[in-house]
Amino acid sequence: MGTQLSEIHEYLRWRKRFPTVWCAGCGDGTIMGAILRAIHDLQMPQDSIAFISGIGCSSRMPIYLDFNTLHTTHGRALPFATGVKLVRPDMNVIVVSGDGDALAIGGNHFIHTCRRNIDITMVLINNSIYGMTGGQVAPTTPIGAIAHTMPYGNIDPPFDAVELSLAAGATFVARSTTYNIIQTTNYIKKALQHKGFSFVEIISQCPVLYGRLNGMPDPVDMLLWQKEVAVPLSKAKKMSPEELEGKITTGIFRDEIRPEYTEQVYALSEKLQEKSED
Amino acid sequence: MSKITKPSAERIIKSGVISHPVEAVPHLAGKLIFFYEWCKKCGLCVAICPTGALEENEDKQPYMAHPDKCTYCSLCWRICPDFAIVKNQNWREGENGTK
Amino acid sequence: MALNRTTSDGHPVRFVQGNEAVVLGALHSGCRFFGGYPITPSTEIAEGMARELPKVGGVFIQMEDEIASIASIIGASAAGAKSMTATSGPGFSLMQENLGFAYITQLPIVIVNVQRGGPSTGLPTKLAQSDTMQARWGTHGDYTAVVLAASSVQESYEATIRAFELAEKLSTPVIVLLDELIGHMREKLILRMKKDIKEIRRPFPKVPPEWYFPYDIPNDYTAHPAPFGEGFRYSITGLVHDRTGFPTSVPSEVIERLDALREKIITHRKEIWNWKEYEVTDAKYLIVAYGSAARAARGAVAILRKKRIKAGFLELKSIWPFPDGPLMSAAKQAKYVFVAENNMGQLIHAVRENIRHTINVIPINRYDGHPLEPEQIVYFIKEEVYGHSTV
Repeated sequence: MGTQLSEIHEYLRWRKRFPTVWCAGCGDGTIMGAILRAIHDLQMPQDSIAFISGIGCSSRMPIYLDFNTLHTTHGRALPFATGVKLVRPDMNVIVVSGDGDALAIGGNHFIHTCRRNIDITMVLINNSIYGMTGGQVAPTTPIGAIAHTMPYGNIDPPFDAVELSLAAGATFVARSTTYNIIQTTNYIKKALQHKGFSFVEIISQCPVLYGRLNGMPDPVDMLLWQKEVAVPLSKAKKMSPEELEGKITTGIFRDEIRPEYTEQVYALSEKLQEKSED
Repeated sequence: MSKITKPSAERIIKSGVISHPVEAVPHLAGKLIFFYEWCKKCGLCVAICPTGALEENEDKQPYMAHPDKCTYCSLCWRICPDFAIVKNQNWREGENGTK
Repeated sequence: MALNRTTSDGHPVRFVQGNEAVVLGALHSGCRFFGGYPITPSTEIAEGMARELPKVGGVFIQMEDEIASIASIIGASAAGAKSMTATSGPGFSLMQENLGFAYITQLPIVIVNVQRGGPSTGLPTKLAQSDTMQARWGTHGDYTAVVLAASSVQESYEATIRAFELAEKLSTPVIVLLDELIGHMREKLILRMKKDIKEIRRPFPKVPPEWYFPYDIPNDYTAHPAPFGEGFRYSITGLVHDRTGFPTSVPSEVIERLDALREKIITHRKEIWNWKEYEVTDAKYLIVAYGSAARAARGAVAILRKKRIKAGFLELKSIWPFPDGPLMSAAKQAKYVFVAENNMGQLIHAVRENIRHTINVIPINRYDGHPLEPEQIVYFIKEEVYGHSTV
């Protein structure tokens, strides 16, 4: 019998060295697997996918993947992706970005891309810390947590990325964790099928930095922490703010249809070109 | 310019890019193949296995300790960050696990 | 577009601003994507593109800032479209990091910088040429820039067309320097006929995907990353990369890559160089200038020649890589070279560096936001000729 490969090995760039550069137990690899399984289930042709990232641990993902990949500058994945999508609206444009990349330096592009509702699928890998640069505080680091630039406990109040994207107008918004990996895969599949800007935040684990600095050095500790803090939206709605303290609500927060940006752009130019002919 | 031919699955594995899978030792044969050279011994698969079918050997590598306990739930090879666990050929789809 | 007359041989004629000429140049070059952000004095370019691009099936988008603007045109270029943006000093500064990304990934884009008084907010509605060095060294690291310039409305049109040709041919960013005066004034513009606009497009890979090296280094050093979605699924990254596009830090591959990026431009410098000579053959006093300073220099030469002073002028229509050849030949007879600039002295450094025989290189600078006038240049030159200005 031929040696069995999983369905996702097909998508790996076989000339790259595996295993990946990510630390043992990091959530990035798990989420990469979930994205690939979603793409596989949807039978998306590899040529049709533009996989774009910024800078950071999770942003190394596209280099491993056999798609049209663009590993851009820190925080700027979304405007690069906007340019790609506007020129090739037929392509599936996927952006992967970390919490520092997307919400700190990339925050301005994040809210504007949500506002435009352009058909791009964004996967935010939120490990609450800057991993690549060695463990600095991020816009998502909880109050009191330790980071190398918050050695006495974080005093910066963090963002809620889901609230931010809802307020900015994203039309598909969901959150999951690496622990609920089947739910994560399904949300990514829904996001890929959604016509409009879809945002999926995945609470991920960084055992080597965030974990070690905050009493969860072992990857398994962080996975169990996710299991413990994750609360489905349906349950969370019935819980008081005190009960929700320190919890993270998961689920689909919005799934609606609004005019999609590239369709508007091309509808306008078709109308103008018809007018100029007659 | 040399032609970059994409090798077959076997050659990929033999070429060390994807390392050699553990030869399916009979009593372990069955549901899973582990690529120990890709496994970073993070322990996530063993921890997430709902029935305790997987255990760590003395080198902290996962192996199918109790094949009978495995319900094909797929969590182990979904959680693996390094794609080091693969469904074996005779993985009975959908018995009560997902495809 | 105002008066739609044509010349005797059928060329359409317009009476438009420099900024509008840039729009026409871009459209005639096949530009089909503009990502920009409003900034005086370049906004008319964005407005023109917003009006015209949808009519030709192109895409205009106003992004949230200049960083996003240049990111969007690089993405558009990666997807295969000819793309451009336009800005001025403050926006040009914001664009520098992603400009570096375009240099290393060799994606063709055009950036028009309509210069204004600096630094910082400076003199938004006044002209300057104080981004000359930024156009060459603005982003970090070693790289080789291609920078063109325009000194009239007609030149704004021609320079934009040249910029797209060079960008596509060399697979590189090209910067076009205008200034507020050129961008906002109206002059006659003679457009090219549709039939004689041969659109240069980046070559499509001639090998199947299995054989394709996106960043191969041929002997003319030009790599041509294939557009997205055509089966050539390769890695574009801002990290130093090898011929396959995968990141590398192997010293030999780093040197090979950085050398290739430089040689790609240097070996084609003669195609990039563009200049015009005015009475240089016997010129003892040579003026060197570009953009709006060039207009004053032409006037100065006329005045000085009437006074039987052997003055000449070399107009630079391309600035980087510095046209040292044309400078050396124009300065053959020169005892003095005057570098006339609307800044405190930037181009003069390149002139001094490239004048290899001993000669006096003297700056003529005006940096109060107003254009240099011929009489000012005449005054400086007569100071040198007679030691003081008598008349």
